[in-house]
Amino acid sequence: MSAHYNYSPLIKLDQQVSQENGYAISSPILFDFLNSLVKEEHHEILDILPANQGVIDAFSTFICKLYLPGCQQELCSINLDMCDTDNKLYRAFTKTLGFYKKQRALLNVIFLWDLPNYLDKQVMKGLIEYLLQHMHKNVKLHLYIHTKQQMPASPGVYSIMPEGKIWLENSSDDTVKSPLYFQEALQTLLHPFKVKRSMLLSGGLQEYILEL
Amino acid sequence: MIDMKQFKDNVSSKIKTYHEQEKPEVQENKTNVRSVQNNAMAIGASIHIKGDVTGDEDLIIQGQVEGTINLKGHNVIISKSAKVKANIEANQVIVEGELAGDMNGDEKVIIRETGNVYGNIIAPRVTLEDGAMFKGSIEMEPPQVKTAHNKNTGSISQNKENVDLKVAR
Repeated sequence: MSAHYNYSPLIKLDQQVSQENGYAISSPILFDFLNSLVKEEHHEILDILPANQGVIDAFSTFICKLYLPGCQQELCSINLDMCDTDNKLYRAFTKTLGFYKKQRALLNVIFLWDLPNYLDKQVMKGLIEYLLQHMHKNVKLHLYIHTKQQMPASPGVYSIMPEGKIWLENSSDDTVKSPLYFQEALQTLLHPFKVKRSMLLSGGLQEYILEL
Repeated sequence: MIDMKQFKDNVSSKIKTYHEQEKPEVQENKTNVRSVQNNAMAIGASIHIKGDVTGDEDLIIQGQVEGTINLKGHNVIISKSAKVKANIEANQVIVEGELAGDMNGDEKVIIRETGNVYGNIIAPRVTLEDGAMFKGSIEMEPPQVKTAHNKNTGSISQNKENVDLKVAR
């Protein structure tokens, strides 16, 4: 039995609904994925963003465990000079993600949003390596990659909305150079994950879902 | 262990009955959600409790509590001024203040916009208002799914995704 999210594909995939504090964009891959999840199975989900009602609502009809460490900023501030060994980096992830308190997570859904654009490559690789210990073999990794030369100076705040959309809060107008990860570079960065599906969204975001 | 009735007798001068005008808005538009009634117990803002709290009535916490709170079948409200370091078991838990600890809500857990929670939640329904701070995990098992899950144990199909495998780029 699959979940139903009242997902009705939009005629224009790049349709935006703008408001002062943010805007909604269609995210078809995310909602195809959510619709495909089996209700009666147990799901363990990691969302690195500050906790919000969107992800809770999206999984409220499932038997699930949501990990909401709200650690996006902490991950971005991990200093490689301070974490110059694998062991120190491991401890930094443990402290940030809070899994030391848990017996053992078995994640099958991970939402990284646009975090990979902002993390140092070594930190990102270390994070994937760390998370591999807490993943189910059927885990799916969902994220967005900026495809324009410039991207917002800090990671976005996203929220899952009904009807196949996500809400992206407006950040400051400051921009930084985008790392411009294309598929091959992304797979190298997120090894051993492989791209399962990808789609270019409005605003220059490329949506990806990856699997082992 | 602190029994709430005994506690009420002993420190009645420091505990006030929860008045109508001070009552936080906990009435939901659901007929099956119990509202906190006038006769709920309150732990005043100047009270600091260390130990286990048990009882048979609703509880409002305005002060500080460290230990455990076990009010099965009843509601617990952690007010804006409250600082609680405790694991809580109750029917419905509403957090407006600070909580470090795990919550087990038989019916629902609500974290208001002023709430700040570090801990894990087990409840069939969880509401996180805009502005609320939460770090931890949430375990949800909707009753209707739980029933179906129990019936179908052993025959649950594997997660079959029917999304296409095309890579656009």
